[in-house]
Amino acid sequence: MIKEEKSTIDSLPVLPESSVQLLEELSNAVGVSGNENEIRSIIRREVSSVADNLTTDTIGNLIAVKHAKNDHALRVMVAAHMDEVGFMIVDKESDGIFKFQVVGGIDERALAGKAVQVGKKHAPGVIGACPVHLSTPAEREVILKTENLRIDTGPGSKDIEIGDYATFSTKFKRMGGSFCGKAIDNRIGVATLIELLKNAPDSIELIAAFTVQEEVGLRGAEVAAYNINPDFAFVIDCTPANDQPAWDHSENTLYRTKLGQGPAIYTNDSRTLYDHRLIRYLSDLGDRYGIRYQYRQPASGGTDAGAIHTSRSGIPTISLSVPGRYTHTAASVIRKADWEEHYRLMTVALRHIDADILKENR
Amino acid sequence: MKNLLEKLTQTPGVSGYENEIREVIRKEIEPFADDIQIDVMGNLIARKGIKKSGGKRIMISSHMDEIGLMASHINDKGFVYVATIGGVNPLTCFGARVKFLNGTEGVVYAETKKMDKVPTVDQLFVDVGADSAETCPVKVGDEAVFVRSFLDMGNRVVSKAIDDRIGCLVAIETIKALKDSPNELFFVFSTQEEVGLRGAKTSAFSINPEMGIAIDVTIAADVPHCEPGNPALGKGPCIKVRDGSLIAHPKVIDAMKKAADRAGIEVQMEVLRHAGTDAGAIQLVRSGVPAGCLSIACRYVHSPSEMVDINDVNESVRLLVDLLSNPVDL
Amino acid sequence: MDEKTSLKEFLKSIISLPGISGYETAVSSAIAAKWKPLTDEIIVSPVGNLYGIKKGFLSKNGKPSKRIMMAVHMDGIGMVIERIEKDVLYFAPIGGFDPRILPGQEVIIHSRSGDIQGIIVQLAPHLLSEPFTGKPVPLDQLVIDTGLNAEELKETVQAGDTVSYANLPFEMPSDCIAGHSLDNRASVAAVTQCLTELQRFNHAWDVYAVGTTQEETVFLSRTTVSDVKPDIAIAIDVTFAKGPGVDNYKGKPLESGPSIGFGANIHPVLFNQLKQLCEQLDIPYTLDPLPQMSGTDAHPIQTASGGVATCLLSIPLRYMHTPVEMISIKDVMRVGHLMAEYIARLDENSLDSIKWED
Repeated sequence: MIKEEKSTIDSLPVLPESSVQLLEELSNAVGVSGNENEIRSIIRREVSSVADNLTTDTIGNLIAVKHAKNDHALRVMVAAHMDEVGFMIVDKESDGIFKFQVVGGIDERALAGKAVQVGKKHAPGVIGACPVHLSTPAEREVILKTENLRIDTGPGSKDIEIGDYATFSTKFKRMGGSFCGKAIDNRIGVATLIELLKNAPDSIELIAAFTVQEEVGLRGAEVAAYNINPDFAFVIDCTPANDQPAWDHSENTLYRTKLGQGPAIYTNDSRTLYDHRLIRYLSDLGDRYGIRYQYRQPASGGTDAGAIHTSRSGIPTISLSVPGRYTHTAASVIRKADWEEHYRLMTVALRHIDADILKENR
Repeated sequence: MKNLLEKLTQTPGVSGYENEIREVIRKEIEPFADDIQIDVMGNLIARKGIKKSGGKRIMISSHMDEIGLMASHINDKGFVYVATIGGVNPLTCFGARVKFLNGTEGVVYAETKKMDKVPTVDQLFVDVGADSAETCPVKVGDEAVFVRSFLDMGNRVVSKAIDDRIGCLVAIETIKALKDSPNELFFVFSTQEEVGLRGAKTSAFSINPEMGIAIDVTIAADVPHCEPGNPALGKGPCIKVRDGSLIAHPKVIDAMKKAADRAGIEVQMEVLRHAGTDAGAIQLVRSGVPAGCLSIACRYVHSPSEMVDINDVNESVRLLVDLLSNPVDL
Repeated sequence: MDEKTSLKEFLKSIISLPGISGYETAVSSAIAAKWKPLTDEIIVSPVGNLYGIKKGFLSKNGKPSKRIMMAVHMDGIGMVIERIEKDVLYFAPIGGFDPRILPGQEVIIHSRSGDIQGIIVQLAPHLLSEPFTGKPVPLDQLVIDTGLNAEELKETVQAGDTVSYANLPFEMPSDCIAGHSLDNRASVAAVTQCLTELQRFNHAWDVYAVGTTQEETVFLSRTTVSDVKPDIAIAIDVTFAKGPGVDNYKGKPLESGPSIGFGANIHPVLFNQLKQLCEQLDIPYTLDPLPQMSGTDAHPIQTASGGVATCLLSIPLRYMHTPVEMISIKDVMRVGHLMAEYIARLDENSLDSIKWED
């Protein structure tokens, strides 16, 4: 299946330091589902000189194509979603006080007491809560629900309208061998895909789909996959790692993925049973090149693959994700080493991809 | 026919890994089909006939896949924690036996001090006789099917995976029995129905049929103190009116009723409040496909001992042969 | 008859026709008859979607045409007989119901031997799975009594027969209409108003008035995209009107004009164009923020068959999914008027402006 002679990890491209700065910029930028403009703009700046073709489709996906050197090359789609979870302002209550709703999936318990940024101008705001002195113990037993919380942009604040998007205002940080920031899910995938595009192999037509609206139902990927109709699709994303110890030291059997164990190959989630030919393809490559990888536990959740693999007559699809803790909250954490291994595995996967993989019946 | 049913039900084919069952079916239908394809999702698509005047392109879908388990974690002691594939009820899992696709067999049990509560899926594990993670022959992502032998009770037959190998059997027997038809028939033995009608969606897109029919089981409501409903064993094939995924096209229902009248077959009308079949996916592709479903009443659906009446199966074949041999007016 | 009166009469006539999801033929035929003189061609798809096509001057002059689709679902919620138990009928819902509104409701059963009257009733506590004292009786334990005895019933009604609300529409002060199925026949009337007004315009784009099917269940509207291949789609539906039961931002006042959808399902340029046009033409409007997904045809249409730039206009409606829904015909006409004015302004180059910002 893998035709090249065994090579060593040293010959593989390494993520340049600039990609960390790019990740920082992407993490700090705002791109809530349905309003990914800022992210699209950063990507366009980064890839316009390397892409042979760059288009935005009707739903807002940015599609960057890098042609192969030869004709009849495999058309390989790599998808990374640009959007992040956040909020939408839905009603004005009084001066600077707004009702909001969540866009995508956020645990309501992680909202109160957070700083947020609102609208195109990133106006500062807060989600406050009743002072502890004024709440009863019984009240503190009850979840602070979104409908009872408000975004406060301060008295006299201007330019905030109903329909404006908002998100957390956490700034990107380096913490030891880890990165911390908001929207690492999935700016990590966006940053990776930009690097893959810059270093695309000549042997394939690489179609980088920076998709919109993954967090509200894989909407962009559905459109992109239909229009691209590739021979293979890879989805790169950030997947939850719930690998911390349990409070009573009981065995943690539901970690999904573990930090520090390398990129996670998906097996099964709510929307996809991953093509086992491609699962094997990635794990074989990992073994061969000494790239660490792990299997994501079969569990709920999903990636853009859910929409892609059942597009048209079916598209062979696999997801490879960087494990991340506390995704869909104000601050998530990933390990740099996992990201580097992810990039390596994706790089070799694109280099070696071959139609023969499908010769074996699924 | 019962021998074939035994073979069909006993062959493993959990969603996403339908190779083995597909081979069994392919061998069975090869002499009777004009063309056979296997697509990206693993669907087996057999074409029979060419569209003639007055005929239609018709897709008939019965799903090959069955529910099962997938390994999610191997602990230090060699116990295999699992996730479910499709609608597995943990109630049916205590003490059940499973077989992983690499041949490893095991017993399902659950974390429980007293066996007095229904376990959650997260509490289920399989004991494969290993005593450490290193010696465990199963890895994360490996799939398993339930093991339960075939039981012939005369009119009634019982097995695991009757859902939907019984539909596969009806399709196979129909392919064999069909003589002349104005219709171009695409028999799809579909994959991944149990996890969301996925194989039917992509195969319907490829085939682009003018009408779609699913053949699947439905819940028989003729056992003590069950959820009330219409379908009963031995009362004939069920013509679906609605379920959670589909409101059957009124003209497809009519066509099925007419076929039943012509062939003198007693039928039952099925109104199901939930669940879905391949027809739900077929109707939504491209410009839309008028779709319906022929159901076979089945007791104990999604348990390892599903029961159907063999007369219902025979009558379903007769109904389908008549329906597909004649022009359909939509 | 003036335009308003005639529109009211049309609306009342189509909400009196059966048209539950999957069984839209009766209402679809009436709509087709109304649209026929207003369009160049009428087509019905195999799954029941209705297309009224009005050519623009671009395609009439043999130039490459652009297409705008107005998608409006024709179906309404209803019921289907599940089984017959002696002289009562059990039924399953088609579409979303609050079972609390059902006891005492008059219905029509569309049986093979014609329409049969019935009434939905709740049985005495000892006949239920539990007494449900102080609790609503769940939908699957409500029954329909037809007055027919067990034998008569067996001869006429069959499992699978559909059931519609029986109550007739009526007019109320301030141009309001009350009745069942105003969701979404009010929007059908709005599209009809648009087609009527378009007779007075020489528009450039081809206009596809599309009656979609099964919005209340599986959204067959997604299949219209493959047929029409539109450049722009407007979904027209109803939204919650302020009133008893709805007193927050989710409700728009009756008579407040079109409510313009905004959110991930909506192309922001189309949203802005519609909003600006309302301001320019002095049409009152409200904003309809959609933080997650729109529960309308806008949702499937946006991503179907490669995607369509989609927007959503809604008519405020009180008491949604009850048999006594209420709308103002003024809002209906305003939505129709807005769409006609929007379509009249589309030219060869309009599509160039429908671009996502970076």
